[in-house]
Amino acid sequence: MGLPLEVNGATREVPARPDTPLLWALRDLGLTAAKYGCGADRCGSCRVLVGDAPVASCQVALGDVTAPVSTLEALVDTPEGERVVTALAGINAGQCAYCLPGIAVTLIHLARRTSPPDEEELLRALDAHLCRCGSQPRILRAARQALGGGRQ
Amino acid sequence: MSDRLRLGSLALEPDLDRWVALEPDGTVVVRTGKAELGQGIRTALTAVAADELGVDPARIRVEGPATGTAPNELITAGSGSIEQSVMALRQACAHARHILLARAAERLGAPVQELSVDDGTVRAPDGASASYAELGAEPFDHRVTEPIETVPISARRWSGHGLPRVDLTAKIRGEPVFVHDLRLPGLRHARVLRPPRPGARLTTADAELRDLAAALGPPERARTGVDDSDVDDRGARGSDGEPAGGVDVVRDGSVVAVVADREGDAVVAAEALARSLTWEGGGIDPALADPATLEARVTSSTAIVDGAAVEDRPAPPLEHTGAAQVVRARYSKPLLLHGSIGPSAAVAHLDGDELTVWTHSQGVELLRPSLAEVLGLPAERVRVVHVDGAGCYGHNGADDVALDAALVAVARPGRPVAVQWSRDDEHGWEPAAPAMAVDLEAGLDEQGCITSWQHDVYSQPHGARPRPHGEGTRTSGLLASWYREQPFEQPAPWPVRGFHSGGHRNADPYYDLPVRRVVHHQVPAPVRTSSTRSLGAFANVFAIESFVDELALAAGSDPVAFRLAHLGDRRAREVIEAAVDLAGGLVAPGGLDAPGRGLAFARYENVKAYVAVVAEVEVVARTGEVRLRRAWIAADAGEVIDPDGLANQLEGGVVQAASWTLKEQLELGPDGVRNRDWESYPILRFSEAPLLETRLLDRPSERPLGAGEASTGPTAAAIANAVHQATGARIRDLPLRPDRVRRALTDLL
Ligand code: FES
Ligand code: FES
Repeated sequence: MGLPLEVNGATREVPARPDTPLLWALRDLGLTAAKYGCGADRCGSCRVLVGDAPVASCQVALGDVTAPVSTLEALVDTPEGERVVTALAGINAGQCAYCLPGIAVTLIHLARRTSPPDEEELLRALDAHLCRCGSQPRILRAARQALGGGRQ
Repeated sequence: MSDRLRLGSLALEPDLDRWVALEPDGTVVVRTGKAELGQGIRTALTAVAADELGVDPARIRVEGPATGTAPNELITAGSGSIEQSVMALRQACAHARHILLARAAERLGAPVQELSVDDGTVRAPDGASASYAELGAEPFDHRVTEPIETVPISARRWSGHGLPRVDLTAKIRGEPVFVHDLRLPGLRHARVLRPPRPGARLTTADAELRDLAAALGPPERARTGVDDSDVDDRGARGSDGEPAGGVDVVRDGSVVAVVADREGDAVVAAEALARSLTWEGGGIDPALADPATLEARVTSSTAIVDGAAVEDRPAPPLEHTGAAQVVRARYSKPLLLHGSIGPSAAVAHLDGDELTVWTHSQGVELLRPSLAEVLGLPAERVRVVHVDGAGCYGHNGADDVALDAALVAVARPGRPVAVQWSRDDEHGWEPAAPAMAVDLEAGLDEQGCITSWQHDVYSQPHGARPRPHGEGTRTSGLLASWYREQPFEQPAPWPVRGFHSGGHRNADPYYDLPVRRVVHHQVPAPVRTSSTRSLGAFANVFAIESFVDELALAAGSDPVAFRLAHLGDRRAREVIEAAVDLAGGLVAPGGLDAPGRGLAFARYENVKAYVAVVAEVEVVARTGEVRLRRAWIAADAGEVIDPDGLANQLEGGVVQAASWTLKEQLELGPDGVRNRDWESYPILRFSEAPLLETRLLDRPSERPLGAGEASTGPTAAAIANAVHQATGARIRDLPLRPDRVRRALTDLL
């Protein structure tokens, strides 16, 4: 017996305690695009969408998830996902890329909005993420390309 | 170029079959002993192999380091991947092609000169053809001892032309490619509970630990068949012998791990158990962290000549004879973290009497015997395989977590077990980048030329990588070994005698100086310190290049002309000119309110890539905040194999070094590292990232030069020089945090 969790369009049975952070429940389901980085909502590598909202899955208890969860595994095959991945890969915007799946979720979320974010919104959204390889300048360039807004 | 340089790592590993193999479907497997650390080595190797063999890059599969199968290249460090592995592979592929063509000539009955190669298919003039897969079915059985001719520069299609990163798309898409994501059949997950302080011993009694462990099982799953006799035995097992999903505790002295079928259970249980354990003893002396007091703690001093330590007793201080003025200054940097975004992880599996360890270590060949010694296993029974990890900037926790996983795997044989450190573990236990201080003194003559130069560098150790110490010595560089029931001893730091090793890397300035005295002073560290990207070069170049600006000012010269006047090497002068040109000069437009610009230059290890950086900063006078707005990078790394990969490494180095320079400092207390999260150890954020422009001076006929670490030192000095230009304040101690900058600005008034 476990807890039901709606993820990527299917309902899965998660054999975990309700206080388990969503991140680990997802990874135990084999969905490893969301990654552990800090467990404290400081690095963004665990980012997923809950309903329509980007959240740090390390901070949400499994028992508190009330909306369907979308992870990068599913988001990547949407038109916005393809746009974001193509933009990032197109200019080699990353080095180790451990930070990038989380960043991709944030960018896909922004790309789904009707109006493109301005520069300030983009920076605010990306400030939820850390990149230690120093790829921020390239990631920003790719983001502007994929989102079509802000400074080019 | 000498034969030795052209052969690269083939000098260590001449067996061609180790490097190149053909598979029946036409795939070309190339093997490397260099690990993908985010530096893009796989892409550079793919480009070179595609060119030399005449196949499409899509046919090539690069296999990374693994003991027993990949070529032994010892370690991936020191910006050596291109110089050693790529050069070796180019020669290996040239030899392979030579042999494949000879076999084709025989089979097709045509002379080699008349054969052509198209994507791995060899054709004779009469139209007959043979594929590499057929021709390479037999091993090469060939030792590469002499370099042979390679494909001419004009015929290179991929190397030098920017093949896109071959591994990046899968990583961006979140595919399970990191060691953190390795999901082997039957995998279990473990977390090791680190002590509250370095050196502390676990005092929780076995019986108590057993009770605590018994209370850990997830409540909604029945724990059956707990073996009460010994917590070291299988903790929670179903009646059919299969784990019931409970949590199992492994103990070896002060090493405690929780093991569970699911990662979530292991994490939750580890957090719960950590609160109940009791420890005693241990602790550190945080006073040793202060760069201001390093000089008082010197344990040994060594003279440095041409980058190498030469004698035990350094020469007496210089008199600066003939100098019209003598300038002195002291610079410092604090202890720093690597701070990889993905904490260290490993997977280990004891299957029968074979232990396999999957790791993101930089050195599988050093890790293998190091693990074997601690585990008491013969090295032949330990196999260490590299799997990509998060960004690696030096000796981090990768090797230590490999031992964590191996200890659990040996205690719980039969199923693979994965361990990942927490953020707290990573900040608290990874080897730190050492604190350093540099005293500089130089004489200037009437004409404003440097007459004499004295450099004293005080540094904590840069070398603590695990390595074998010999059977029965009970010394090990691996963290958990010091906490076992039968503990190992922590080794003394590696001696720093090699060429540009440790704290004296780049201590020897690249300028033409008539008289110089360079001395390296060893200082003990309060916590384990080891190699971090560019080692001593970061502090030494920061100091030298800040000081050169100070000397230029004292000499009444400008920073560009002063540097050029003291540099005999044309390539060095050209990168400086290129960076200044790219920036459009060292004076930013904007009149009085213009931001400040600063220049700095270094040649990494005095023999690797040349890099010049111009930084543009804005200083907020009220707060003391320094914002790096833009930076321009010029580099000469000899022949450029992967232009975008090179630019990416240089740019990443600038951003990372900007973060070190502006923000970072490890804080220590009696219990060790205090800033164990990103809130207390902030790093550069997206909104603080500079705009970057890079110019590469390609020299296709020169040998490639390592560049992965070459931009960090120049960045720090360029920023400090820019702050000086903007404000008149010369700040010599890193980081350039607002409080320090504001104090410096107040002092000017
Ligand atoms: S792991 Fe969730 S934000 Fe860092
Ligand atoms: S690319 Fe390595 S952390 Fe961002």
